Amino acid sequence: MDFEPTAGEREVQEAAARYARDVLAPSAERLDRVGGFPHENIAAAAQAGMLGINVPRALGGREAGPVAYSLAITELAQACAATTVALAVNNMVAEVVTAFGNADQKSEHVPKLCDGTYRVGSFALSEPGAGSDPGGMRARARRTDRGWVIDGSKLWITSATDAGLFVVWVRTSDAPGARGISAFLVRGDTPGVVPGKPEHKMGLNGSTTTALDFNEVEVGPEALLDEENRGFRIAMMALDGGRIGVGSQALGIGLAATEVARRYAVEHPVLASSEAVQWRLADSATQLDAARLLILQAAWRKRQGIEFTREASIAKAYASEKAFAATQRALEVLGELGNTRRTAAERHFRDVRVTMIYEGTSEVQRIVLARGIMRRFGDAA
Amino acid sequence: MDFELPEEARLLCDSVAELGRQHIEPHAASWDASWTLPAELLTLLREQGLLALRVAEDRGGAGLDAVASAAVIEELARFDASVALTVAVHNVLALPPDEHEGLVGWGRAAALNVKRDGDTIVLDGNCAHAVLPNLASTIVVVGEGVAFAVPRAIAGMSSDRDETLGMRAADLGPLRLHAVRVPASAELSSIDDTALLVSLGAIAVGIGTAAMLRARDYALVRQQFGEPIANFQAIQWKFADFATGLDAARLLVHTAAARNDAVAATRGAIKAAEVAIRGCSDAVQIHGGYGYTREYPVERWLRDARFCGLFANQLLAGRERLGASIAARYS
Repeated sequence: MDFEPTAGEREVQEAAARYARDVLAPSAERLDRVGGFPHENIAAAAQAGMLGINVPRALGGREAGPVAYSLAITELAQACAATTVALAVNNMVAEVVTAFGNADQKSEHVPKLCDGTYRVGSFALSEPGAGSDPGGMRARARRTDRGWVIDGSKLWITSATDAGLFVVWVRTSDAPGARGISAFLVRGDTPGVVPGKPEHKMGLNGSTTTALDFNEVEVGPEALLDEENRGFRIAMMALDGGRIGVGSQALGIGLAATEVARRYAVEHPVLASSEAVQWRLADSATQLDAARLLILQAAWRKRQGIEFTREASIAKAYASEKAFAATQRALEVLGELGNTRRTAAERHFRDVRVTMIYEGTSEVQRIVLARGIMRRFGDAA
Repeated sequence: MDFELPEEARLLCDSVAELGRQHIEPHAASWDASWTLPAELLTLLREQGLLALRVAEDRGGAGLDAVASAAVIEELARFDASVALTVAVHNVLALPPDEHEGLVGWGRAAALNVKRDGDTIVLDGNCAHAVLPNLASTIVVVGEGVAFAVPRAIAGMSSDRDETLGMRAADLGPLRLHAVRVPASAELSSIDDTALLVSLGAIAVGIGTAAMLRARDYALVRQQFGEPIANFQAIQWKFADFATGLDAARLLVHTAAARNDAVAATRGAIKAAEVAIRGCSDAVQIHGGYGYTREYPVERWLRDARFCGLFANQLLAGRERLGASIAARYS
């Protein structure tokens, strides 16, 4: 057993910590207030090598692996969870194209996702009536002589206002449920691709989340990712990796809130010596450590090429819930001060809440987990 | 034993609900976003008798007892917690409306320095998290074992507006007293926090009730996997727990109100806040992505419930008081 990251992974983690400290931290509070897409942070992310952490060097990435990716996301989220979600989705899109694209698609798109040419990539799966159940989607693509015409509406699309490339899932046959779904790569400037107004959210205000309409969008045959009608498994595999990202993000927010509380307690001896405070910090430390190990277990399995769907689900559900609990304890340590924006803990509480919802709610993770457990549990798993 | 509210309290709750549906609920989101309540609202609240809940009817008040008063505050919180908090704090002093125009605010000073100089009292201190410090015309300033009703316009008093996690439409912020001179008559004989604790519990129950009903309506119509999500046990259990918790919390709050017991009120406020926070978080979860947006009220209710928890738990050192009281007596 070895719980230490490699030197290379550590190096990426440190680069992320520097970028988080120098670029993200100074603007996080302002971004939360004013909202909108974090243009400057994203531009600097390319320089810092945060756009393609687990992407081959040959395609412009850092080739540092899933463990490095997880460590980096946790560092970023401690400073600015909103920018982190835009970066995490970009990494996910770059990985999807790397894993499922043909040689032309890879060389066309992945370098532009890694060097900032596309600003960011975006992942368009959910629809108004298809959230936890993506098999219920209605957006369609129909074949024409020149390729495909895509029509339909997506919802909750991170960075849709500014993305240079979308990977979008639509129906390409009348087969029900998850069958008959294909994935397409669509540039943000393609005529007919129309993002809606950014949603006003509880938190993550420094990232944009919008509806995304595809109005008779014409794309060539080269837009189809992998095989026709085989797109659903691409989404599921992308989300497996995405859940490592969300878990890592939640962990970072929970750590940041706990650190705010810890510092405040240390500055106020009456708090530091109170068991009510001590126990809260002890519980948060325990649960965040457990979350970290669960996330790293999933990331390590992915790095080793071992099946990691189950581990990613466990890590995501556990980390998001425990990080939410940790932000609440942090507020409680701060007491009435926690009710105000005079510390960052208030933002952390609002930001972390969505990690229990996006990329599969806690309920969906449990459905998936229970299904697996019913088949097998224990060493045989 | 009687678990029913008296007729007149039920009637007032009904009229509060009517007021809430017509004049509060439609605006609650925009008041939250703009950090303010409109002045006209105060007129409406006054006309309904909500600014004199405990004042006798022959002096122009609603003449309610403590339980009925808690029920009214709860009803109001179902529509807007910031409004309910404003009303609850104002009612800490039972002032006849004809003799007193403005609002009553409230602040606790961590180290209130009280110097008695003949018929004059000089106050120095800092209320870090006061309620209505900017809008009130009179502020109840609470120190260790003492309390004073101080005119807001008095020399030496200053205040600010805080940006808060929840209760954003309520006027909240720090209040400072620097050599504030008041007559000895400003000192209040009763400094009991019980009424405020009862109100906080009632507000949390009201927020929770609103969130539960809204989430239930949503779960019955939102379809995933070909059926309403209300059909799934994972969703049903959240409702079962939420409803149980709300009933329990309301009983604690009302018992405390009936007995005018500070320890019971602490239990009620703590339980109510915990139930509301947990339940409002579940209500957000049931709404999925929609729940995280400000187009739906559940995220606001979660922030408001969280506010109640911090206000009740920390300001009044709730659990420590509870612990000490259990050590002293438990029956």
